[in-house]
Amino acid sequence: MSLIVLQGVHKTYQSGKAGEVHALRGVDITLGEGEFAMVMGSSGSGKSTLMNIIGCLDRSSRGNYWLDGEEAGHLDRDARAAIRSRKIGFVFQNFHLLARTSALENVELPLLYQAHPPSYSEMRRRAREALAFVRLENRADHMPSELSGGQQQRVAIARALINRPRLLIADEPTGNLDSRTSLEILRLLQRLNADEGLTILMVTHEPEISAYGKRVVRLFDGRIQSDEPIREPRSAAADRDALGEEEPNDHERDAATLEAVP
Amino acid sequence: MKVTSGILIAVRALRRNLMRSLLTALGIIIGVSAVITLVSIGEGARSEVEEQVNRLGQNVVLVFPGSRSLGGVSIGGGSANTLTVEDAIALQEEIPEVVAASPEVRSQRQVIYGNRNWFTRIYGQSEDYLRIRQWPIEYGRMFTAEELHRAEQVAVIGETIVEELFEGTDPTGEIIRVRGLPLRVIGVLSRKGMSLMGSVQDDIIIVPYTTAFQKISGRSHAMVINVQVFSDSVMQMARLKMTDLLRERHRLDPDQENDFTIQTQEEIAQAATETSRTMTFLLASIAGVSLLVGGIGIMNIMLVSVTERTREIGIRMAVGGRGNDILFQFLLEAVLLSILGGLLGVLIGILATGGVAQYAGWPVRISTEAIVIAFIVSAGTGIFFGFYPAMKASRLDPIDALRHE
Repeated sequence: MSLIVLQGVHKTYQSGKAGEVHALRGVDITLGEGEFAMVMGSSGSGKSTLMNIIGCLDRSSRGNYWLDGEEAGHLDRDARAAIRSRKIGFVFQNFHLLARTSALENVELPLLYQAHPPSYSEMRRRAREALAFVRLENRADHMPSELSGGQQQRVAIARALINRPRLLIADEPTGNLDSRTSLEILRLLQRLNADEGLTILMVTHEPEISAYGKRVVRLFDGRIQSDEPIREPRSAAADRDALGEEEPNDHERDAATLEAVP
Repeated sequence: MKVTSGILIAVRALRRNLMRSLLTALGIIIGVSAVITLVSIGEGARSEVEEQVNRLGQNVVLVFPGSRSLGGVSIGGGSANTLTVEDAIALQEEIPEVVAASPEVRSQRQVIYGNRNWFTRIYGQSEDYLRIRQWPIEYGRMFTAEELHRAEQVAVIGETIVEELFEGTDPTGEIIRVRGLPLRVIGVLSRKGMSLMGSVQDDIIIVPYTTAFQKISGRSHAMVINVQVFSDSVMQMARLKMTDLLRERHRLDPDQENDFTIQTQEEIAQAATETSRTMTFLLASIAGVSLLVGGIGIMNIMLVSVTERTREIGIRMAVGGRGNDILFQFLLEAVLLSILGGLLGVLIGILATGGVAQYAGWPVRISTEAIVIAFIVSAGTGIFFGFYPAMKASRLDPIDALRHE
C-alpha cells in the first residue's frame, strides 16, 4: 500500500516583491511503506515547499494528497496539527530542541500534544525508551547546550519517534554535522528504516549523502526532474567503521563542543 | 491536548525562564501588596476614628464660636469671641434636655515640677467635663463645683504628665507650677490614647475654667462649649432650643446668621469617617494604578516573549500543537504568573502591614475584602493582558515560526 500519494500538486505564494511565486508546478509522486527516499534540488527548486506539504505544515493550492489512505491536502490548521501529531515525525537541520529543557522533556513534548496522551509515568517510560534507542539514556537530564551536535540530533530523532509516526521527514539532518557524526545519524536512520520499517523522506543537497537512501527524487523549478531507485544504497555503518579511528569518548566531545561555542 | 498536559506545558515553560517569570510577576506582586498595605492603613485609620468618636462621650453636642461652615472636624481655637461662660451656664440651667455644659478654654504652657519641665496643654473646664466625655479618673478625684466656684488652683493631669514630670510616681498632693502659678494635683486621668486629630489626649492638664480664665489664659471667652444632652432622642430638640437660646442671648436679628455653630457627635463622626473613607479610597486608587501598571507589564513581557519564543512556538506546532494549545499555554502562563504574583503580593502585603503597625505605630486593620479583591483583580489582569499576546502566538504560521532566528 502506498503511504504517500501526490497528484498534480501546485503551490503558489503571494510574495511581496515578486508578486505570485509558483513554487510547485504539478508534482506527482508516490511513496510506498518502508521506503527511504532522498529529495534533492537546488534552493528555489521547491523541495522545502514539497516537504512542508507532505509534512502537513502547509497545504497545496491545487492537486490532491493522501497520507496513509487519508485525504490530507485540503485540511485546516487544526486537522493538519492532528495529523502531524499522529503520523509524522520531524527532524530538522538545526535540531530545533527547546532550549533550557532537558533531553527527556524534549523527547516527551509530542506526547503532551496528543489528543489522548498516556499517563505521566508512561510518558516518562516511553521517553526514556526512545532516548535509549538513540543511545542517550545517560544524557536524559542534560540540556541541549550541554550536548554535542550529534547528540542533539539524536535527541531530535528520539522526539520524532516518540509518537510512533508512519513517516519521518528529515530536512537536511546532517547539514550542521561533521562527516563522522553525519554517518552516525545516517546509520541511525538506515537502522530505523531497515529494522522498524519506518518510511523516511530526507532532504539533502549533497549527492554523496543521497547515496545512503533507496531512492533519489530530484526537483527542478517546481517539477520532478528525475526519480530513480538506488539499487545498492551505501551502508552508513560500514562507512563509519571504515573511518577507523576510535570514536572520541563523550567527555572529550563535550569539551570540544564547549570550546566551539563562541 | 488534555488540560493536564497544558498545565504541565505552561509550568515547564515558566520554570524554564524563572528570572523572566519573576520579573513579569513583579509588577503584580508590588501592585497587590501595595493595595493590601495601603487599604489596611486606611481601614485602620477609619476604625480608629470611629473609636475616637465614640470616646468623645455620650450624647455630646459641641458649640463653637463663629459661623464656621462644617468643612472638617477641626476644633481649632475660636476664631470669634462670641461664647461666654454665661452662655454655658444658661444652656445648662434653662434647657431641660441639657444635662451638663462645660465652657472650654485651652492654653499651651510649660509646666514645672522640681527640676523637670514639660510643655503641654492646659484645659479650663467645668466639674462636669469628665462626665460629658465619659472619661474616668484613674486615681485621686475631679475638682468640685465648690472648687470651681472659688477658682482654686487644683489640677487633674493626664498619664503623659505623670510619666514626664513624676516618672510614674503618685503625683496627688504635689504642686506643679505654670508660669509661677502653683497648682495642686488632685487626680490622674485614665489613659485615653490618640485623639481624632492625632494628638495624644493624655498629654493634658485640666483645671477649673474659672482658674484658667482668671489666672492662666488671660482670655474671657470660651473656645468651645461641651454639652451633654439627656439622651440621643432629644438631641435634635435640644439643638433647636440651644440655637434659640443662644440667638436670644446674643441679640441676633432674625435676618442675621448664627454667630456660633452647633455640631452633634453624629455629625462629627460623619465628617471624620468621611475624611478617612476618602483617604482609604485615595490610597486604594493609587495602589490600583500600580496593579494596572503591573498588568501592562505582564502584557509587555508576554508580547516580547512571543517574538522571542517564535521558534519554540514553531517547534510545538510541528510536533502536533494546535493554535488553541499554544493559546492555552500562553494564557495559562500569564494567569499562573499573575496568580503566583497575587499570592506573593498578598503575603508581602500582610507582612508590610504588620511592619507598618510595628515600626510606625499606625493603627492598621487587614482588610479581607482588599485581599480578595486584589487577588481576583490580579488573576483577571493576567487573563485580560495575557490574551492578546497568547492570541498572537497561536496565530503564527509553523513554517515561518520554525524559520525564525
